[in-house]
Amino acid sequence: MTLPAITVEGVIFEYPGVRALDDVSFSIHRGSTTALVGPNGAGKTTLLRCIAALEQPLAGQITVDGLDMRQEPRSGHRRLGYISDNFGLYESLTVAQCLRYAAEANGVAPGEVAQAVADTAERLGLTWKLPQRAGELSRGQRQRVAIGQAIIHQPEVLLLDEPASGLDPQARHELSLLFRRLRNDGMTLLVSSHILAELAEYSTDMLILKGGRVIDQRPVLAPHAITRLRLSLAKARSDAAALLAGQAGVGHIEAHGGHIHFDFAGTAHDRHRLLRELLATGLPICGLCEITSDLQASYLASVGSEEELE
Amino acid sequence: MRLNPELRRQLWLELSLHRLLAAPLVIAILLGVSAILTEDVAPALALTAALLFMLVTVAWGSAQSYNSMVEELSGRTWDNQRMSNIGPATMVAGKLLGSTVFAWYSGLICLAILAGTLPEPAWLAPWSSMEVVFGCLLSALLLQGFGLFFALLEISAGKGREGGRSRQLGLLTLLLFWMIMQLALSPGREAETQLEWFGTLYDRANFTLWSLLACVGWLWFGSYRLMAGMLAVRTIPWGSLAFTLFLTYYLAGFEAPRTASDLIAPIGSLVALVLLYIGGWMAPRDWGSVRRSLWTWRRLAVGEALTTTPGWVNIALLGLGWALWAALHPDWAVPMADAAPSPLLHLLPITLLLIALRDIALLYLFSLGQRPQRAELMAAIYILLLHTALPALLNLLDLAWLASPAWMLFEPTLLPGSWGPWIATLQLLLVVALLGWRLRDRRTP
Repeated sequence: MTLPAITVEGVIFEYPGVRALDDVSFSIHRGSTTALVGPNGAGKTTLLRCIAALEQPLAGQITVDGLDMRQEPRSGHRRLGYISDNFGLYESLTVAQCLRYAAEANGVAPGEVAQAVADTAERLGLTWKLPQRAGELSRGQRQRVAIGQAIIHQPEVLLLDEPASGLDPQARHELSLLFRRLRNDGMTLLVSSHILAELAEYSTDMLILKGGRVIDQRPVLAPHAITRLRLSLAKARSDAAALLAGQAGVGHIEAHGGHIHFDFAGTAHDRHRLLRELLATGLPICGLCEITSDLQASYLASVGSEEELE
Repeated sequence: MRLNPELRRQLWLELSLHRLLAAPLVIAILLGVSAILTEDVAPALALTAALLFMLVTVAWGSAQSYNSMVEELSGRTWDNQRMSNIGPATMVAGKLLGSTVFAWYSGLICLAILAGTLPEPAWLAPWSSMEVVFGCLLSALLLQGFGLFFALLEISAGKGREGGRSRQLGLLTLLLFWMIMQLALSPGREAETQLEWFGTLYDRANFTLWSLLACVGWLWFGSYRLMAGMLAVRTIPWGSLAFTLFLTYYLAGFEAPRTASDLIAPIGSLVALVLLYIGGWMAPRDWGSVRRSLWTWRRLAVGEALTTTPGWVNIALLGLGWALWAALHPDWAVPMADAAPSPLLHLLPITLLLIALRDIALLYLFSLGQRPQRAELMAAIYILLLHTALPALLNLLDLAWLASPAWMLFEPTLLPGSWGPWIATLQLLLVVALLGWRLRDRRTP
C-alpha cells in the first residue's frame, strides 16, 4: 500500500479564544489534486500553513511524504512547495534571478541550477520573460513565477492558497491546465480557493472545512467515466424521462421542463450511440452537454446538510 | 564552491555598475569641498571621512541590515525563506554581509582616507591612528549586527511590521557609535594607558578593541540563534545563559583588586535582572506560543518543551540561583557596609529579581488579554504605577511596605526589612494567580 502524500491527525490550532482547527484529521493520496474549500474563516489558510510547518499546532500530527512535520520540518520542506495568496516574489529581481535564487535556496545541486531554471521556465511558459523584472509582470505571470519558485526543487507536494484570486479568466484557465500537467507529472496538489468553478476544472478530490472541522472529504471526478449530462429538448415531452431510462448506461434522471439531467456511464462512442438512439425515438433534441459544476453541487450539498444538522 | 545564495541575492540588489562608479566620485567631491574650505587639509579630510563613515557605514549600514529582515516581511517573501534549505548561519552571514556590502564599499574608502590623514594628537593617546580606524571598523560591525539582531528580535516577538523602524534605528546607531567612541577614547583620561581586569593590567586600547570584537561575536551568535528558531532548526535555549555568564564575568573583572569571585553572585543577579526585563519584553507572548509551551511541559515532552520555553526563563532561574546565593552568603556586602544605604544589601538582588518576575508576569497578563496589541503600553503604565504612584499612596496610609518591598530594605521601619523578599513573592504569586485565571478563562471549551 502506498503511503499517503499528506496525513493530518487530530490537529488543533488555537487563536485567543478561538479554535481555528478542531481535531482535524484526513489524508490525501498521492497524485491527487484536492480542492480545500470552505466558508471564510473556516481555517483553510491556517491548515495549509500548519501542513507547511509555518505555524505550529497545539496538538496533533502532520506528515508529508511520511515525514513528521513537527519533528523534522526542514526535511519536510524539501518535499513541499508552498504558495501563499500574495506569491512572495522579489520584485526587483529578474525572473531568471528569482528562479535561480529559489533553486539554490532549496538545495538544487550547483551543477543543475541552470538546467532547473531553464526547465522550470519552459514548463511554465516563462522562457521569454526570464530577463524581465518580476515587479513588471502581470498578475498571472507573477503567479506562474511564484509556482516556478515553489516547484523548482521538484517537491512531492504543492500547497496553494487561493492561487486564482485576482486572475483574469484566461490566466485562470492557463492555471488549471498547469495544475493538470503537474498532477500528470505525479505531483500531489492541495489547493484552497473560493472559486469552485475553477477548482472543478482540475480537482480530483474535495476537502470541506467549516468552523475549523472537516465536514466532508470525497472524490469529485467521478470514477469509471460516469458523467452528468444535460439533454435539452426544443419542446418538453412527458415521455422523455421514460425513453431515456430505457437506454443503457443511464441513471439518476431529473427532468426540469425541457432539460433532463442524468448520469451516463460510457465512452464517447457510447454517448454517440445514445444520441443516435434518442433521435430515432423522435424526441426533439436540440442539445446534449456535460454538466461540469459537480464540485459546487457537492460543496453546497455538504455545507447545506451540515447547516441542517446545526 | 557554491556562493551563499542569500549573499548572492543581496549582491544582485546592492551592487550595480552605476553605484560602484558613483560612490567614489561622490566621496571625492565631498572631500574636495572640505579640503578647499580649510587651510589645514589633513584634519579636514579626516573629519569628513569619519563623518561619511558614520553616516554611510554605521547609520545606513545598520538600517540596511535591519531592513534585510523587515523587508522580507513586508515583501511577503519570509515564508519562502523559512521553507528554504538555507541554514541559519548561512542566512545570517548572507543578510549581514550582503545587505551592507555597498555601505562597506563606501565605508572602506572613507576608512582608508581616515587612516591616511588622521593626525596623532595627544588627546587620542593611548590610541594610535590605526587603532582608531580598527575601532571604527569594529563599531560599525557591532552596530550593523545590532540592526539585524534587533530586527530578528522584533520578528520573533511577533512585532515585525511593514516599513519597520529603520530610520529610528539609523539614528540610534549614530548615538550608540558616539557613545562607544566616547567610552573608548575617554577624553580626560589620556594618562590611563592601561586598565585592570581580574587583577591584571591590559593596554586600554587593545582591551577595548578585543571587547568590541567579543560584542560583535555575541551579536552574530545571538542573530544565529534567533534565526535558527525561525528556520525551524531545533535549539535548546542555552545561548541566553551563556551570554549572561559571559557578561557577569566580564563586568566582575573590573572590580579588581577586590576578589571578583566574591561578587560574581550579586553582579550576576543584577546582570540577570537587566537581561530578564529585556528578554521578557522581547519574548513571543502570543496565545499560541504560551499555550504550546505550557502544553509541552504538561505532556512532559522535555526536549520539545525546552525549545518552546522563552530564553528569559533560563535567565530568571540562573539569576534567582545567584540571588539566593548572595542572600545566604552576606559576606560580599560587608566591605560595602559603610557606603551601603542599607544593612540588608544582601537581600536586594533576590527582591529585585522577584519584582522583575512580577512585572514580566504582568506583561504576560496583558498580552494574553482581549487587546494584546496594547499589552506593552498597559503593562508599562501598571508597572510605573506599581513602582511610583502606588508606593506614594500607600506610604500616606502607612502601608508602604505592601507596595514596594525593595524600598523596605532601605527603610525597615514598619516591618523588619528582611520581609522584603516575602512581600515581593506574595505580589508575584498574586499576579501569577491572575495569569492562571486568564489562561483558563481564554481557553476554548
